Amino acid sequence: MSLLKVEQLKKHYIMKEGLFNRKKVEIRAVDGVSFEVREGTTYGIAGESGSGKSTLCMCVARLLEPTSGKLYFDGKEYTHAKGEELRRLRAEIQMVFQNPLSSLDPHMVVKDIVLEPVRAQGKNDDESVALDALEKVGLSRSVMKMYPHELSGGMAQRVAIARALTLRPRMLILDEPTSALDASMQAQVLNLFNELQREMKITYLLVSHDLSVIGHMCDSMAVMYAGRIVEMGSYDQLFYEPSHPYTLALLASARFLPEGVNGDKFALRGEMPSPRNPPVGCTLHPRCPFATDVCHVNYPDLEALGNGHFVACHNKKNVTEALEIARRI
Amino acid sequence: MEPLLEIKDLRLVFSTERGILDLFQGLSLSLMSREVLGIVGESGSGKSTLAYTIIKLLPGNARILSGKVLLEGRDILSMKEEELRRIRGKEITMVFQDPSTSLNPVFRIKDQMLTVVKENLGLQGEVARKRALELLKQVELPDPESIMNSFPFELSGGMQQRVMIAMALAANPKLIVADEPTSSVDATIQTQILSLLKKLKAERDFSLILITHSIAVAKEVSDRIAVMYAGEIVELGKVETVIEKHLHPYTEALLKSIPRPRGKSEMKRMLPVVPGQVPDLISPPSGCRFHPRCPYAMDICKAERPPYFNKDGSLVMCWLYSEER
Amino acid sequence: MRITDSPRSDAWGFFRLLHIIRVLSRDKLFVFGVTVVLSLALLSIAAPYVSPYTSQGYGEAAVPPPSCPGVPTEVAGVCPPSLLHPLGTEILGRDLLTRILFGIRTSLIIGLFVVITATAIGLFVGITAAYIGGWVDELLMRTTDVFLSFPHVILALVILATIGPNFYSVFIALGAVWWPTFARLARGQALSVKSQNYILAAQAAGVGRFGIIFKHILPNSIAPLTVQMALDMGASILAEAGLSFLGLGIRPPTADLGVMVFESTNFITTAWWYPVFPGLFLFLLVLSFNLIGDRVTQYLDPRLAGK
Repeated sequence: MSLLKVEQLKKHYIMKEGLFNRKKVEIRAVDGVSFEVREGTTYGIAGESGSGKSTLCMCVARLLEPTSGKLYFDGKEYTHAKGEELRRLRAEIQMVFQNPLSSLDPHMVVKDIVLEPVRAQGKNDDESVALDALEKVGLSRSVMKMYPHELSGGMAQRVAIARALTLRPRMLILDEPTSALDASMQAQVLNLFNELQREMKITYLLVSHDLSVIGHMCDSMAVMYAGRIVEMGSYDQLFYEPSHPYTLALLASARFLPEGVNGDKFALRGEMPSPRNPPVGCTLHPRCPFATDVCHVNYPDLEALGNGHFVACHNKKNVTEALEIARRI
Repeated sequence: MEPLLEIKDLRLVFSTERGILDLFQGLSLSLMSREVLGIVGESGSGKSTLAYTIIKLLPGNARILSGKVLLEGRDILSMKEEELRRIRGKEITMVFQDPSTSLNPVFRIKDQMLTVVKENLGLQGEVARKRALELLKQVELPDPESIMNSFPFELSGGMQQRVMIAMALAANPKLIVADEPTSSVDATIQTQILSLLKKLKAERDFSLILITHSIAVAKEVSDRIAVMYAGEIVELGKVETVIEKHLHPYTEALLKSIPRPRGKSEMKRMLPVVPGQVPDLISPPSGCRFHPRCPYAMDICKAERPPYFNKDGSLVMCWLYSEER
Repeated sequence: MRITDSPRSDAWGFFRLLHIIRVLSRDKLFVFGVTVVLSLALLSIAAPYVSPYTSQGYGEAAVPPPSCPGVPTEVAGVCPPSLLHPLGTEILGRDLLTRILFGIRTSLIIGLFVVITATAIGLFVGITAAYIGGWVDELLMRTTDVFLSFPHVILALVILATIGPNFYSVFIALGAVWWPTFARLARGQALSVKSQNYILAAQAAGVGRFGIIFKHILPNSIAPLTVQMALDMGASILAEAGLSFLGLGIRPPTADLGVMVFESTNFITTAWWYPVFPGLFLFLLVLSFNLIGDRVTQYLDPRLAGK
């Protein structure tokens, strides 16, 4: 059974433009996203900046109010949960942010930072709770009285993780949790996530631009581009049978294509379109090496390829064929 | 052949609130002309400081105790401001990490490009404009005419970085120092910029020092890679050698700790990690600076700073490769 | 790259303030400012216990006024400095030094009060505007702009002319014109704190609105305001003296430097000490506060970093 279910989630912003003639522009940061996360697994969301993946996270964590769509946690809808109901939900879904230092209040000591969630929930805020959580993330008692600026980046991220653990949440949303860390710190933190999952059966929603992190951590995943999911499925499906030109380009730019496949022919031209006036039809078509006429007209629907593999591309057959040919050469 | 740039026994410290931070304790490096050298290291390894030492643009609390930085035999460190200005931006140019703060937001690209072209090449009027357009074409910017009339904020991060590269190329420099040129842009754009650098390297006559925290980036364009740890270049060799037949335990640990996608249907696994943290250089470890974290540490590693050993064409600063062993 | 280890981070906090003070304790001008302010404050607090002319400090005239033979002054009370009166006496024969010390008291009390009131109102308005945003923000900040569009002293003059001059009106008038600066500053600071991830983290933990304001936004917004408080102490003391000089501020018999300077204007040519000493102390006090503020701002200016 799925722990988190997101249905047709949309988050649109209205921006006012111009000084006198105030024209309203609608920005579709997240534009109809649906996916499910099974309990105890890691679900990855890959995408570049501007793909809407962080906005999606914030909506799922209910730090932003979605424009429309539905959110379910453990079978119960919480799209518009308020007050006590929302507070109880917050104990189950916690979040770890990208920049560890800015996610810790500089004037609080580690102990108070770690205990903040239990205090907010009116639960036991004994020192032992903080100690337990710190021990889980591999920090010793000596950090309890330290201020965030005395911590290194890796330690700060561990404190942030400890804070998220005190409420024993069932799901952690990880928004680029290691992109501010150095290689050796990143490895330590990623290992920590995997250990915690093994011990506590935590479910992760992991958002990252880094396919190597996603590929290392995730059981299933989705790839987002310009506010929509362009492909989703299991890890094997997306990394070994990619069917969307964008997934292919991401894999190519990270050099993760199968041995011997030259990724240069899958590279994208140009850059991500401005969300103010996205291209008509498929948002990827101006950059896509596979684009045909139909791509200029219609946005493709997410279509099932079987076994939970979905892709939104008019030319998915050409994509898989091209990859097949490249493999054979 | 005479190297283009040679750093000889550089000793550099920072005076900080907490005491003297001993960064370089005798760092040497040489760069041939037309060579691309990738300098890889984690934060605090001193890779950026090394870049700024080359053009002698150091923060006020840095002190150079000894050593030389020779550009074609001339010592940059002993130069006066006047001479330095003749070198910076002409013989050595820089590309910075964040293009959005390196371009002046209030001037059009045109004005900024023309200033560089006029000042460094002594061109005027239409000739200067043509040259600027040509440069923008060389960095593969679409529609250079309209780019010239844009303000920096109207360009995306990738385009801004291309403009920065065009400006760095303007004076036909002998050496370009690029400090994390791709770490503020997205993966697909990063690929574009790296292939641009590769193309330019093939077409034009300059050396490049590429500073990055990512071995993957360095691998794309470099001829040689220098791995830095705690103010030391611990390993220096050809790209393939460093990536595939690395010698230093730190290089090994660094490469292994990078997460990789699993094989098809492979179980999730743990990453081998380097225990501990980068040392505090206010009180650096004795001997080899990596010894407290090194799985192969021996007695001599604690006692004595290892010299460079030459192995398979690579230089490695590690006692494991000592002849006597 | 961590090379300097100075906490010149985006985050403001108590520790940053401590660090600043530690660094600034090596700055001569800063130390001078602090020393002068502290010693004048101490002297003025101690004045009732050390001065033999205590009652004169509270406004009672010297009866009879001291006579100073051989000195041609227009009014009998005004005597030149002597052993009994180190800085001379003033128009009613009172000891000038005592009056000045009591005057400094008035200045400091008013300065502190104005700055503290302004900070409190400013914090309230600024944080409310920043946290709630939307039309509340618009309304509060446009009101602030209206206040800011008048020079401080002119607006205070208008208020005083309306409610009539006395000790408390000066508080009200100056407090009312001083808060907008703080409101703007507090709003800016609160906005930047609000965008920090630890606010989101607190929200995600289920911390309520007031918890976030009082535990996170307020403590992290106060520190930069303390710098502004030091800067504005000098300015508000000067403004108060100006108002009193014009007769719209503190009224006799309360000792006040502005009033003293005003009373002495007729003696500029005949009794130099009378205008000079009150003016000199006012100058010293304002200069010292400005030095403190100036040095702190200089330190904080990133463009001057590393010098």
